[in-house]
Amino acid sequence: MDEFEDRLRRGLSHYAAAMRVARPPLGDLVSGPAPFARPSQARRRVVAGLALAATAVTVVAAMQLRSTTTEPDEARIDTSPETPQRSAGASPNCPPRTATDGIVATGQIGDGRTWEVQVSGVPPAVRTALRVDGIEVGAGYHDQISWATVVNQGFLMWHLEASTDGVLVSGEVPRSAAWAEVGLADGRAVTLCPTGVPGIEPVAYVGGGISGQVDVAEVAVFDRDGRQLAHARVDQIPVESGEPYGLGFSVQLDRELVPLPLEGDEWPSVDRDEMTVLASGQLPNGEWRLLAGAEEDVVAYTVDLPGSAEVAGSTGTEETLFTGARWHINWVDGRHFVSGLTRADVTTVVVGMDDGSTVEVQTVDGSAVGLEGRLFAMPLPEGAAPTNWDARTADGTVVEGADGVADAFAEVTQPNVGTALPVRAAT
Amino acid sequence: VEDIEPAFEALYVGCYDRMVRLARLTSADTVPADEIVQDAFLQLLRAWPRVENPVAYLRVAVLNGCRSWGRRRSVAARRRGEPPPSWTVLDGDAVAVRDALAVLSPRQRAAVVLRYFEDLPEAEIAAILRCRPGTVKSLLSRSMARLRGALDDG
Repeated sequence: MDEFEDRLRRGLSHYAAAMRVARPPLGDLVSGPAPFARPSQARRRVVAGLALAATAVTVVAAMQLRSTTTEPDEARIDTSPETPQRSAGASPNCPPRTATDGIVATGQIGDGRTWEVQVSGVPPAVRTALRVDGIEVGAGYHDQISWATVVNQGFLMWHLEASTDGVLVSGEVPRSAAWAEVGLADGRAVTLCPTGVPGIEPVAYVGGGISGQVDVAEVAVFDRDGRQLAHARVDQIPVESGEPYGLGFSVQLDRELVPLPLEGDEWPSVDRDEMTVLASGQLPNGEWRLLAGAEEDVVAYTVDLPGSAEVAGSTGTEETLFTGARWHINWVDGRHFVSGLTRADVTTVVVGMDDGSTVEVQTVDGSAVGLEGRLFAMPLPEGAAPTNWDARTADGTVVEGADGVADAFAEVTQPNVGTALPVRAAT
Repeated sequence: VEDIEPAFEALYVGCYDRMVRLARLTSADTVPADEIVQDAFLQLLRAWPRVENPVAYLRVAVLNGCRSWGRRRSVAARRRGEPPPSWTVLDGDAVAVRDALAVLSPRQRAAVVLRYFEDLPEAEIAAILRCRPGTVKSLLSRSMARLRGALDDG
């Protein structure tokens, strides 16, 4: 142990020992009111990190499910594609299925509310969205690194969204999977059939909805011979009780049974120490910095925000960086912060507000760090309500823009919550 | 209380203080560490029959609680009159470490505390923070660099 580590341990120990702790009797804790007066209204929140792909995946769960009259203990199994009946030990009959529109599962939950799981994008920029009554309640995004953890390392991304209506579950399975099972804490199991999406290899997708208050205990994936290809315990992950929650977790493939394309080669990332600061500025609580760098054929950019665990940014190749969601919205020091990547001919990014005013920022050249594009970052004024967002060339021509701007900004109103918008070419 | 297993009670008595300290070390002073830890124990109690590693479960629940509080306080009505933590006199290293921790992001701070206060291996930290062990290594490396700078400046 080096001297500095020793000093750190000693300091932490002294610091902790100086804290006065008053432990209440256990009886008071168990019989008393819940320590947190949890708000009963639905709220937007960020899923507490995806498991092994956490560093590279942005997951935003916007819980907007209204309360229903569903009895808490009345769990109704409701899944789609239809849940095949099967007896213990027998394989369910899941027919091969492909969703050309990306809707890999749909059904009803609660008192007849319609849900669906839709997969879109081109690897590695693959996005999975969960919707209820057409409203997105959760989504997971892959980028180059997180996709590599799926295809190279076999960490499949799964997602739970729970509300008083019930639990929605979606996840990736290998294309060789015949079915998946979601095991409930009460001992029942829900069988889900995989659906492939054209162009997205080597995974397929499952989705299901379970009405009522249920606890998911585990998930498992099987091949047609009944061999378990992947498994994860979910009940070992604490969730906040009594409120809607979203949970991202990974399901590890058995690599003896499922050969992986690159056999564990991890996609290289860009060492943060090798990144260059391209822009910076001051906020009330500290400095923000826009950094970018490249290593071999991998390029990365990121924004450090003061006091925020969430950073905006992306890592990938030139090609994939431009296919993913690349305009980012964060919340810092009581205001929105925007950043992102534009085409190389963009000189100005303009954010328009609902009162007709605009805020603009000059882009900075990314070529010095191996990025054939330009980058931008800026805080917006406090109280700003953006309604449009575009990128312009030196002569003022709008060449890129984003849709759904007002809704996206409305979702990001607290620290450690962020989202990113895909960018379209202006028509 | 009579229905609570002695093992749970023993864990409560044995781990409560340490969990409060874990919460305070990984979070800003404004976080109500006691309430978060109590909530974590209640979560554990509900899940008790199926939890294989109660201490690991508690750690995750406490860290999730701290993170949730960080999110919650900006949108919910702020808790008024929250008494600040009471401190005894800190020695020089403790003061320096306390101040240095403030320069870290919440995730970096959690990694450092789990490694150097809880003495957890990187693999276990990765499981708690839900990231790859390599990411923990990188988090710790960057955190230590920032801490060195902060401590040296102090």
